[in-house]
Parts: sequence; C-alpha cells; structure tokens
Amino acid sequence: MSNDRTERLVNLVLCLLSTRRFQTAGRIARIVPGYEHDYEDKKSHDAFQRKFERDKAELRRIGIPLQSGTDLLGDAEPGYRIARSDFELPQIEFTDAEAAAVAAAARLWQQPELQSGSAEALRKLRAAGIDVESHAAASPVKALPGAESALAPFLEAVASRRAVVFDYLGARDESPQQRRLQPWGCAAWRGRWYVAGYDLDRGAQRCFRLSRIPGKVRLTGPEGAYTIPDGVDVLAFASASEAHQPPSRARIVVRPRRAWGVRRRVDQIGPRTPEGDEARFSYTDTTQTAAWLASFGPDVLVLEPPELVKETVACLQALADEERP
Amino acid sequence: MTSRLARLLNLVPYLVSRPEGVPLAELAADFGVSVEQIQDDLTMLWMCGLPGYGPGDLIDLAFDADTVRVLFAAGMDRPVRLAAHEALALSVALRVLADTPGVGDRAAIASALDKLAAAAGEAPADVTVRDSVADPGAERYADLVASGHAARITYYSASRDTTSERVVDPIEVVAADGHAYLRAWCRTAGEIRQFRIDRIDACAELDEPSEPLRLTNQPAPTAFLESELPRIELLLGPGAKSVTDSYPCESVTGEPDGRRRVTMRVRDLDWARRFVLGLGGEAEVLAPAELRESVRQSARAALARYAAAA
Repeated sequence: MSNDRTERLVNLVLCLLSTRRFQTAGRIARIVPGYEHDYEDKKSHDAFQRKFERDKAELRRIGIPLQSGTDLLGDAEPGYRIARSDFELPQIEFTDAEAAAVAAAARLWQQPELQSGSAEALRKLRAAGIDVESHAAASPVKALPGAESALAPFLEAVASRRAVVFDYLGARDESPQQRRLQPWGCAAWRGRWYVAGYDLDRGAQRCFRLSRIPGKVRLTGPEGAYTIPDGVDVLAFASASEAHQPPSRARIVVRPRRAWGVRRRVDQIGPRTPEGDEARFSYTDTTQTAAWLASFGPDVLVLEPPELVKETVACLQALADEERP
Repeated sequence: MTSRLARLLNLVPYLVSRPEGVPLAELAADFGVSVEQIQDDLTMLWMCGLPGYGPGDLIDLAFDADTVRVLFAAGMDRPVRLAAHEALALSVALRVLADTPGVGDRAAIASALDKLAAAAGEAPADVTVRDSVADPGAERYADLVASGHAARITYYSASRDTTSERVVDPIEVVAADGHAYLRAWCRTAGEIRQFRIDRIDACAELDEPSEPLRLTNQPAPTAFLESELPRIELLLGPGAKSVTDSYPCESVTGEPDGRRRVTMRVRDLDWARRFVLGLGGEAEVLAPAELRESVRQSARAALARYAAAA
C-alpha cells in the first residue's frame, strides 16, 4: 500500500471515529486529505468513488466495521461512521493463568497464516497494555496439532461462507480428484483435522480429512454464498467417516514367546498349545489387518474369519513371489 | 501479512497505554519491524489527525532521547477489536490445549476462551477438538517430566516386535497424531528417542535427576551415520502409496506400469524385512538381494503353516 493511501486511511478512520453523525461520501471527500477532486468533473468524481469503495473494503478486511445510514433529518444520500463500541477492543483482563494459556496458544501453530493471526492478536492485546507473553510458562506437555496447510483457508472459508476448490486423495482413490465444497466447519479428532460441508458435485454432505489434500485450497465465488445448517456436528461426520464397517473378530494362533505386537492387541488368549497360543481380537479394516498380521511372518497363523485368512494368505503369496490362485 | 495500516492503528493505543514512554528499539522489537520502519511510521502518524488538521488536531508525539510517548492520540485510545481470523487462530489453539491432557490449567483455558470471544467483533466459528490423545496415562508422564527425575521404563518397540528395559532422562511429553509420546534421552541408545506412551508397559521413577542435556557432550554426526545405514530399493504398488508420505525416501520415481521405485535408508535389514512384510504384498524388493530373500523366506514359512493347517 502506498504511503499516501495509508495516511489517507488513518485519517479516514480518525474522522469516522470522531463523529457521531453519519458522514456522506461528499463530505468525507471535502474534509479528509487525499480525497480532494473536482466534483463537477464526472471522470474525477467516478475515480473518487472507486477509491473510496476500495478504502472501505480495506478497512473491513482488517476488521474495522463501517456503519452506514442517514441521520434522522439528514442528507438524502447515506453516510458512514465507525461506532466506537464496534471498533475498540473491549476492556479485557486476564489472570496470570489465563495469560499463560493465551501465550501457549499463540505458540501452537506451524501454519504461517495461523501464526501471523496469533501474533497480530497478541500485538493488539499488548497495545491495550496486556503482555501475555511475559506470563509464558514452560509446560511438561507440548501439544503439536496437525500442521495441515489446508486448515487456515477452510477456517477463512467457513467464516466468510465462501465455496472452496481443492484436490482430494480419498482412501480408495488412485489419484487426487478435484472437489468443490461449501464448508460448514472444521474439527480435530484423534489428532487429525477434518472439514465437513456440502459437496457441490456430489450434491450431498461430505467430510474430508485435511491430510489427504495434497495441494492448495482455493476460495472461490462471493462471500455469504450459503448458510450453514443449524446444529452441524462436524465431529460426528468425522468419526462416522472413519468407521465404515462394524468390527469383526479374529481368531489366530501366536507362536510361544513371539509376535509381541499381536499379543498386546488381543483381548482374549488361550488355550495354549505347543504349536502356540490361541488369541482373539476385534478389527474393522480387513486389508490393513491382514497386512499387519502378515508382517509377523510364520509367528502368526490366522484361523478365522475366512476373509481375513484369505487376505493374509494373499499378502504372503505376493511376498513369496508365488502365483496367486 | 501485517499491513502497515494495522500497525499504525495499533501504535497509537500502544503508546497511550505506556504514558511513561517507550524506547524506540523496544517499540520496533514489539512490532516486529526495524527501528527505521518505526521511525517512518511515527513520522506518518504525526501528520494524521482529526478534521481541521491544525496543531491541536494532529496526533502529537514527544521524543526524548531514544524514547517516544504520545501527547495527543486524536481519539485512538484503544486498539482495534480482534479481527475474525486473529480471534480464531487463538481460540482454536486454546481448544487444542484444553483437549490435551497435562497442559496447564483447564479452568483458565476455558475462561480465556470466553474473554477472547468477547474481545472479537463477531463470534468466532465453533471448532470442536476432541480425543487429541487417545492414550490414558499422558498426565502421569507429564508429572514424571515435572518431577525432573530419570525413569526406568519397559518399552515395546513395534518395529522390532520386542520389549526391552531402559533408563531414560525425560524431556517432555509431546501430543501429536492422536498419541502422546515421552520424549527423552535414552541412555541405552545414547540418543533422544520418542516413546509412545501406550507402548510403555512399566515405568519406575528413579531417585536420580533427569539429565537430558547429556546429549550436548555427544556429537551426533547424523549425515555420517545416514550414509552408513543400509539402503533398500522397493517397487511400490498403489496400495502402498502412504509409504512415501510417512517415511523419508532418498528417491521416488514413477514406473511405466504406475508403480513407484523408491530408495530409502533403514536402520537394519531385520527392521526392513518386517516393514516390507507389513505392506500387504504391495511392495517388491529390488535390492539388496539379501532382503529380497529374507522376505521371501518368511512368507514361505508362513504359507507352509497354512498348508499344514488346511
């Protein structure tokens, strides 16, 4: 932004903040330095109006809400003002423990947009005389939330109700597919970030895992393009999207004193035989479980259910370079 | 990302809240810019003010040695409310902290969230964070770290399928990827390790101090060690695509049949054998021949058991 524009905007803010009455664009042009122009000349006046529109948009972008309206007996055209109560950071005080929590929160992010959002917020607090960073305390526990770069654009899209376009590599996709979504909200579940919303191509509600988005998330279309249904529970979508099968029970034989990883997972063991110990456990994903059981090689023999036996044997056959049946 | 406008609007209330004056260097550091930039900013503010723009209308600053204070703020006594994205960055982070066991004071986190929501112009979007750490017991290890003592742990290593006992010097508990890890100097391995807490079978706090800083005496020539580690080369089918995301690979190239040729360094070949066996037949070993053979032998021995059981 040019020096002239920055100076003009500071003066515009001070002007609109100092007035109770709505100031029309014409009056603003006469009093705020930088808007001077020839009113009689249409071209010059149009240029002023474009400039003023851009300036209003910039103020909105940095969080300064302009009120527009007319005074009771006022002008024919609407005017603008900034209500001090909308503009100013309210009085806020933190206890030492709250300040320490905010300081820890501000250090949490690895995503650049979220880092700078936190830093800006702390600067505003500091300008109000609150220095949370001086309360930062060492903690024995460090939280590392997922660093998915898609989180910040989705949060922005949800806040402004804008649609997004992104590539998604679903669990069963060979290659990323483009998706168009009206996002409703984000949630973190078991250390992973999810977004849920209305999928514009599928015409249905969908939930996406952010770590499966390989590229950029692009915001598209106007703000306020949709409304978020009441009572959307993103977390419920997330947990439903991960558990698509009811659990099955596996029955296996584990060689004595081997395959400790399997032993840790089983919930029932016995009877014990010289061949090995019989064990049972629950699982949902047959393919994944078969691959995991195959990794123990001859230390594990799968007895039940048949589809798990079949998949495990298929894994082993592929690994043994044998022809598949 | 910070616009100069946002900084200028913040500078005046910052100075208002510090009527005794602020050294320029401190001001620059707090705003994350150079002293020259802060001087330019102050010069510009000096030219801004209220309509009329006469001597009594403009923002007035006083410079004294290298300190600046504000004499007239032109009505800008308070900073701008938190913008939506600023409030969101902090409030989502607070929700992550609130859901992580052993992090700070839960009641304070909740009340800080309420106060931030009030300080934001509009209510920030509701972002739920749950079950960040599935393992119970994370708090116990937070207490261990806080105690400053070393500990003897029994640890199950999934990659080796063995359980072993070792003495560790705890550094911190890290909550990541849905699990809690104890980050500690492992005296047995002679390096920093992360132990997944749900795989620690037993833990006894020792009556001696945790001294994780032992590592400073130990040069860790990682690059040298890396090159000593065995290199393996695999052909991965589509079902094993997560390998390239989850493990550091030296090279990844596409093959005409859609498979990927991957080379990576491994700790040892026994680990590699277990790793390849766990890829569900989606991986073919190209090198070394020794690994190719050991994978095949393990698979054949397992298949022989199925043949005998049938």
